Amino acid sequence: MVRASNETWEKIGVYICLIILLLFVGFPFVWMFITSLKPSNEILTGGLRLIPSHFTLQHYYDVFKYGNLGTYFRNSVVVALSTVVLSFLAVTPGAYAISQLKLRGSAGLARLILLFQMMPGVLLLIPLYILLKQYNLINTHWALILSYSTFTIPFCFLLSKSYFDGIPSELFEAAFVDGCTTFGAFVRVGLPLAAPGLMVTSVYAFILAWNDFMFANTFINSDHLRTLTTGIVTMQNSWGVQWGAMTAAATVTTLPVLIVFLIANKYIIEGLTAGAVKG
Amino acid sequence: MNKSRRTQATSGSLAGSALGRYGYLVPIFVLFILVELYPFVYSVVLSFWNKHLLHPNADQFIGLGNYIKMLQSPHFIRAIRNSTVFTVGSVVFEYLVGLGSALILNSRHIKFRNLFRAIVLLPWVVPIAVNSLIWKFMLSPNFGFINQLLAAIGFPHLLTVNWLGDIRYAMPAVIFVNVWRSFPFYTITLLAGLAQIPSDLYEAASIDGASKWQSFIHITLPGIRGVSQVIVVLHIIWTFVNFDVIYLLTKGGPLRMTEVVPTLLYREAFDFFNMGYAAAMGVFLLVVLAITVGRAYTKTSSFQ
Repeated sequence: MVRASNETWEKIGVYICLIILLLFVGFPFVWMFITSLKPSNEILTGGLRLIPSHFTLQHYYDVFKYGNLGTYFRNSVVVALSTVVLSFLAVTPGAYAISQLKLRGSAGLARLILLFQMMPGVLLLIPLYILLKQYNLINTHWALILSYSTFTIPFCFLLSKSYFDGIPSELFEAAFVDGCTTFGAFVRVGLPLAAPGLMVTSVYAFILAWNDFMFANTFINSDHLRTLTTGIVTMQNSWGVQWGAMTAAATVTTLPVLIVFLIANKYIIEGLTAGAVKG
Repeated sequence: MNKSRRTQATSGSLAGSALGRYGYLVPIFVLFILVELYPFVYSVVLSFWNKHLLHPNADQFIGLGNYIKMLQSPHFIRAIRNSTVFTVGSVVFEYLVGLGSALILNSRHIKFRNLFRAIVLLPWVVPIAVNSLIWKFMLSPNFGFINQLLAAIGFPHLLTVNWLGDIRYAMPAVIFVNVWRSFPFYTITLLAGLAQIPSDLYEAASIDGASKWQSFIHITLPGIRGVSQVIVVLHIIWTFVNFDVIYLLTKGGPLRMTEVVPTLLYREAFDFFNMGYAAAMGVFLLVVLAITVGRAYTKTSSFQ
């Protein structure tokens, strides 16, 4: 009897802590979303009231009509997808070869690439700026796609190599016996079996590229080339304290990442934790 | 017979195209040299030069000149101090909040654990540009949600505080936002670590009469030691070199109270175009990290 009530109290305690945790994490997003739907005059005067007198889509209309949000959105999609394609093409064959073809010296290369995960982005920012300027690539999307590779390469390499490592090497040997070339084995055995892992890697590269602010803020200065993250910061500077419009733009920026994450969150979390837990 | 044929075929096709097999490394190697290795070497070289983008003909080798200038600059000394406070403050509170939330989610009473785990990870997934916008709004004086809430629960004098713009509160405020954004990573990795502790350890301890607190100290903490080391090392690195959070929240202000080395570097490079001087600061960041956590970093699991 006493034990049962102890159990109940513990359960209540855990759930109270959980509710506090979820409010701490989630409330700022809820508040952002609600504010984006509030009539302008209620944003500053509404106090702590959650539900406004009525909901409006005016702010969303404004940021697309009077701001360049549509352009920013398109640029973000183009840059993030191109980054994913470039990283995939560059990283996947290398990860396959190092994992399954037992090349001499490949372990050293793998370590070197991993070491660059520690490289501060701000340190690479300076030489990249000078080099991109020399080749007239400043203020182009190429500048972003190339500079995003600085963080997608080490990360995607580490992840995709671990997925290729997970494929039993007997499968590749069998393919070679059947007359497959190393490339044939890569296309017919490696890619299909590593596909789920490579999907996660791509999703992750997409999120990283979509979220970048620093490179985009430094390398792009024409408004029609801006991505969403720098776009909403620019809007903040020129539109000032129009929080309805700002929260609407922020919601639009968040939505694609949110959708991608909610679809793939189980695999993303597994990928993220695998590396740390093994150690 | 069968086995020897296989060995022959394998080694035959493998040995036959040794050069071809290295071909797979070409794309990643080219891109790696282009965007990482060459820029890195370039910035180290740059740090020994006086290079100013507005005076392109005045490039000059000055040896350790940039480093000496840097270490004599009061702005730089203050930035190092702020970077240290920001990093230590962030990592300590991130770990505490992360561990607390992992223990909550690990409780056997919790249902839908995967759903809650995904929700908790949200601040970490959303762009920093959005997070900083939300918190600038929430922390605004007078109408901001936090100030209104504080006033409503009995602290009316806090209603007008400008958390991010007040020299007393700016650093704690940026640390708070950074903790909020980063702790979820600790939560999910610690949760994965907790799941690996065998449950019979707890059962044995409770049979021996150990209290929950004793189990926590003698089983839980040692059980997550490895994971904890990895995430703490990674976050010391990430926080020390982080530029976005502070730039987007305060731009290093007010009165340089939140100026860290990365924001100072950025200011030197892209407001004043002192590329050599800024590169020296970047190299300094890297050297500090290599000395403090370099060994621990190369020991993490990804290197094995």
